[in-house]
Amino acid sequence: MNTPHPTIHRLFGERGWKPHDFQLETWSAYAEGKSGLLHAPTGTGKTLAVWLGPVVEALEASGAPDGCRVIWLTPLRALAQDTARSLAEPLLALGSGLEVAVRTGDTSAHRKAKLRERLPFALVTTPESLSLMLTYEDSQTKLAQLTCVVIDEWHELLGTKRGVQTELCLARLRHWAPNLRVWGVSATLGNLSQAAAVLGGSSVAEMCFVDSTIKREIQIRTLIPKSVETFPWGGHLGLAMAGRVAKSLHLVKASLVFTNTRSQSELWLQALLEADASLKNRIAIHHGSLAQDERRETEQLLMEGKLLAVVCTSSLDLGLDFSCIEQVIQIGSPKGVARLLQRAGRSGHQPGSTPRLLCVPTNALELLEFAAAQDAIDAKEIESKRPLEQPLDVLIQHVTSCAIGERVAEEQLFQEIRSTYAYRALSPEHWEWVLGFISDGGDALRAYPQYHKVMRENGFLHFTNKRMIQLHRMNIGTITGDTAVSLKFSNGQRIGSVEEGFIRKLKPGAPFIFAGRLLELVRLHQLIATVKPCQRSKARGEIPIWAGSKMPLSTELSKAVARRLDEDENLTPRPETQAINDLLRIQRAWSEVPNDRILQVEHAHSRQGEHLFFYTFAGRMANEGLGALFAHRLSEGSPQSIQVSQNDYGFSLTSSRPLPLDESRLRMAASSDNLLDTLMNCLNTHELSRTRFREVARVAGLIQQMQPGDRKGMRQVQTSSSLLFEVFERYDPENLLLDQSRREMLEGSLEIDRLRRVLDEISKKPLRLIELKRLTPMAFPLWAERLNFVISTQDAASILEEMLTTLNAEADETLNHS
Amino acid sequence: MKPLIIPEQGSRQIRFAGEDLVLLADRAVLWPARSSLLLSDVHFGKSATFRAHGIPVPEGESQTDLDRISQLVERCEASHLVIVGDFYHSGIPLSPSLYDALATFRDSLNAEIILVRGNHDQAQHKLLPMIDRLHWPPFVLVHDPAEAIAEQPTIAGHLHPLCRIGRIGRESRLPCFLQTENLLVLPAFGTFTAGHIVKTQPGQTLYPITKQTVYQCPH
Repeated sequence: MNTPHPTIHRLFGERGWKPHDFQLETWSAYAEGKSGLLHAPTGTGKTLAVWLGPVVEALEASGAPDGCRVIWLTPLRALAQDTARSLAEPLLALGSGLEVAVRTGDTSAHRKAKLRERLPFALVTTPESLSLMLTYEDSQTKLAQLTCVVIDEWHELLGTKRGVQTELCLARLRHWAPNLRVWGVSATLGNLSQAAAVLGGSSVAEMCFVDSTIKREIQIRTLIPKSVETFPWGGHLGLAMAGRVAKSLHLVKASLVFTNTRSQSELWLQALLEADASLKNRIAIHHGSLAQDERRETEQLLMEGKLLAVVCTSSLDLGLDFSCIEQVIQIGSPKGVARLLQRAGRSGHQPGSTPRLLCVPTNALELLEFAAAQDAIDAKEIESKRPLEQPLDVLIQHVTSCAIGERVAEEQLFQEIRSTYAYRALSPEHWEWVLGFISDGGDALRAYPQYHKVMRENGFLHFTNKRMIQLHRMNIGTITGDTAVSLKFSNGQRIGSVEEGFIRKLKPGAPFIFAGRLLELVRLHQLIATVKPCQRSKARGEIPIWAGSKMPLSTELSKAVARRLDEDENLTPRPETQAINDLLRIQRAWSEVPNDRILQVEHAHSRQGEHLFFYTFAGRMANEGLGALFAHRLSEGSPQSIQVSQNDYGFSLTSSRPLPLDESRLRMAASSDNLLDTLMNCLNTHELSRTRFREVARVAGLIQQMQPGDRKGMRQVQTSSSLLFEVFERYDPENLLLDQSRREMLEGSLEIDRLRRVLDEISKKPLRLIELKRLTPMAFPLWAERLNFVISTQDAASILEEMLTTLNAEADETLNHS
Repeated sequence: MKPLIIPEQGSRQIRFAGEDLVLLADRAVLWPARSSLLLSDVHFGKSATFRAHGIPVPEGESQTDLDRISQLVERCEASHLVIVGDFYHSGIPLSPSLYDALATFRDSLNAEIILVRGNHDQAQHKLLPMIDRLHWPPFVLVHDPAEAIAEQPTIAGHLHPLCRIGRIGRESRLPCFLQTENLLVLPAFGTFTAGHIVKTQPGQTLYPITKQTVYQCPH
């Protein structure tokens, strides 16, 4: 390995630091003019690794560099100021006089105007802000000297529309500054080399991949419940451990308590406060529905060391570096290995300390998932983030942006866009369709009267209408807000937002818990709910439920779980699996333990009828699709209604009439012939596509989120996406945006690729059909899941109790006999 | 007076200010005593307005809506067609094709057209004369219910009333007629129109419309 540049040597020497190998490697690769991806854990100096390359280069050049040389992209605008500070620090130490500035949606109009006059040496910004900057006429001149773009936390952007937006911006910048180097920084992913390739596109011959060999040990411990239920159901087990969790909070300086849903975070805040009164005012809550100010305040208090813990959701997966955090607590299954690692990595940032993770299972099967997650971490089986392919809504937005100001040649732009990974296979037909869509509505058959946005002349695109440009600029970006109701006190103070569906169920005067406070609804007017603190001492508030909170178990974690169940002898023995020994013994005695080498199907009778349980390990979403598919195909030819329920492990079918049990029928049901048509037929895919269309229409500029002031005339172009969806379906059914909504729906709501893969695997596996006398521990949760849907909650509870009592008695007998 | 014709399928007959009216599932009202068809908020040229603002929305709903009106007039054998405002969507000049379609419609319709001005109807549209309100005892027909005169039975539009039907979480929003003691509000007729949920209030009857049928709630 080479020695660092004298400047770096001086900088490090003054502080008594020694460069890591990966830093040396990155600096020299940069100096050789290479682009690449750096994979390194947080808190190891990855910022300096990608930052000092361009800094040294600028210092070496004769004379002070003018103009912008580095753009630093960050996915989180709240992080921008912090990042700028840490970039400025070495510049100051070197006495370089180079400047760093921030430009995000939060930047004041005054600052933005200043930045339009003159750009600093380095600019910290977000993909949205960068896209907007690229639409200004003089940007090409101002950015012609650019030498480096850094994409920080690339793993966060990859696989999202913001990631594709980033790819398109990079292609533009490369065209303007041909010698541009691009460096991404990413956390651990299953597809790091693909992550690098996406950043490079086709214009970089070879992306350098620098992997830090530094391994950060993580201490992982699971709270084992005193008694583990044999028939796992619901998430109530966790709350019983609130006391032990509270105790663990006192052992360290500060903790982050991660939950998977916003409702769960509210629930746990209550439970911790009830378990330990001394926590009052020393723990706080943080989730995406709280007002920005409230969240900032909580972060500030945590930073100042005034809080012992913050109960949070993925809202704190990313963000400010809290060096005080010594412990991360994960409530419930993380559902993915990468997520667990990411969260664990939020702790142990003090020099010399390691991340500490405490896992808290909320039901017996989650013990298994925690054990499996540790297996997967050891085996380095981390989830991949699949890059998006050709989202046309993002392309429409980008091409429109490119045509602002200077005329742009269609052919050149086409080549530039095809140089990105996302659009490498963009067909000339789709390109032509996009050009039609943004100019005059397309070919003669579908031409839209009176529609002229971007002009097409002799192979050039030009967008000149000032009013339309202003509207377009205000709506750049791919982040869509969901319909939420603002919560406000009567003095106007905003405390956050809840989903419309929840608040509409409440009558005025009804108590509910939000941000750890007991509130009552005063009135609901349009999208604003006025609330006041609830004074009644005995009131028990409802906890809001936010939709879309159930994420499926990842493929990697599912595989690890199946391997655990298969009792692979090579696996490290873990206390988590010890704890569910009884559960597995009963499963084995009454049936077999399912694994993923065979397709296990259990057949049982109950008072509700006949049941079939399939163990696919496909994750909740794909299991929903599989269940619907099987129900549809097995009921063909004999009209009977089959109910479906699913969880991460499998799905169940229930019918009042006999279900076919012969292997050939079951094999036929698992065929992947006509898969899409059948699924479209038996699921409410139309409704789901309509929901997806909202985001697509927003990104493609069909509906406006932001409008310039309250300009007259703009009201006339307000509409809802569902109305537009209907209009397109009726009058322009070939519109490619409809097709895109459908594709996004299939992947986003059904995990269609995974579903296909599972069907393919099933066709190669032997089938094991087992007749049950009673519900097994693995079948019980599927049975209970169904109950919740079809019967009123009260009845369901008593049926559940009754079944549990019987099963537990029989289980005791089995255990005592063996 | 013409005899009361057989109501359209799925329609519902109501009494309003002593008159018999038929609420049609195609979002219009038939007033048999006057042999008149009443409808509101067609918003012709709405998709064109979007396009003029640089938002690509297909054309097509105008012809659909014109056909719906012609067929209704024919089926009900109406001698008058009253449009209670917002016939047009904006002041943007109509496209030649839409202008021609509207002119043909005007000239070929077998009924007299009366156009009451709505807030969207700009004076530059000269296809049809517009009046601010129509006094047709016992009713006043005016676009905005806010301009109703106290104690005078009024038929209006403007609100695009919708109501929620079904269980919370999976309900649907349906266009509806809204009736109080002295006011009847028509749903928006246009295909490319959305609406606003009506708050339920005592003394108010809603008539939600599914594809083919007009219902009543509360019953």
